Amino acid sequence: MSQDGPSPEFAATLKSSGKAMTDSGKFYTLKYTISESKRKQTVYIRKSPETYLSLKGHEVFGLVWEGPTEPTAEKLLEWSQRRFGVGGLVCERPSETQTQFRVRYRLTVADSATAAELTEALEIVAATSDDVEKVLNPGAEDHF
Amino acid sequence: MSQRIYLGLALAIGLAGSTFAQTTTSTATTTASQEPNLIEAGLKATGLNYAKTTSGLSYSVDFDHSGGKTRRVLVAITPTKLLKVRSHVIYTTVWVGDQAPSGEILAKVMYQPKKYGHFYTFKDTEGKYAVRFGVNFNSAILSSSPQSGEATVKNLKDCILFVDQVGEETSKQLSGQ
Repeated sequence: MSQDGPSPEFAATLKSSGKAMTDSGKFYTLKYTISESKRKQTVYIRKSPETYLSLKGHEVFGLVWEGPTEPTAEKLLEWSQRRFGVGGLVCERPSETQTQFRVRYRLTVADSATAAELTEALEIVAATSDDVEKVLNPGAEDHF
Repeated sequence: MSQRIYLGLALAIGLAGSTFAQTTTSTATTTASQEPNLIEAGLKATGLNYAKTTSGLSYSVDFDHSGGKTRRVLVAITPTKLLKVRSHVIYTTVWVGDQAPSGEILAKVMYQPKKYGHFYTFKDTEGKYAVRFGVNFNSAILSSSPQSGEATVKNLKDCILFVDQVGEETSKQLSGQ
């Protein structure tokens, strides 16, 4: 497995999709609003594609949970048992760039994706992440 | 500035997105009856040896590994339909047990994201648990008559190889080898 540098072709596709985005270093970030509700969701696209043989894809994710302490084994079991038609959940420990334990809903978009395919994937991540956030944080304010 | 998603879309995706296995299967069965399923044609074009499982739910591809071990990778026959995506899960088992996996095992896999795919826990009807690694393959990218050498057929084959590789590495890690 290896990781290439930023992909200009993918950036051009994203630009041609007409999406409003922010360049935040390693990621492009896009803000979504769920129509007819006040909820919002930020979607992150990793600029650099991950490669494996003929596969070349970008991680696209939304944050769905975060907390200052490590989730319990019971929480990990509950979360790991959630299954999705597309994508899945991964956990993240605090790092040099952020101080929280986090959970992402993520999927991968091919570097060669068309603007329409990319748009579809972004909408899936935005909507599903917001749905999962509501389930994993019952009663809490919209955070992500 | 932000993009707007219509609530109807969000709810539809949410239902499929946060579903458990039973609902996924139900959705996919509807899909299968309405559209041609290209996954077997794609699988055939990869040149890999495969067989339909006795349950009829998946195709299996076996890989030989050192120590006389065989790893089985399964390709779900029925896709989950989400917008234009036809997602087939390609998965392998990395851990099994009569009890739920420990927090230590779960932490090892959940905090160790791979380049593609994700780990998840499956509990069968007999109450046994398995930790699986899976990736999604979108069969909608395949041509109507997939042929060996096509880029999307290579993608399918490499997804299967990736699952085998991660499965083997993770199984060894979890068993302390």
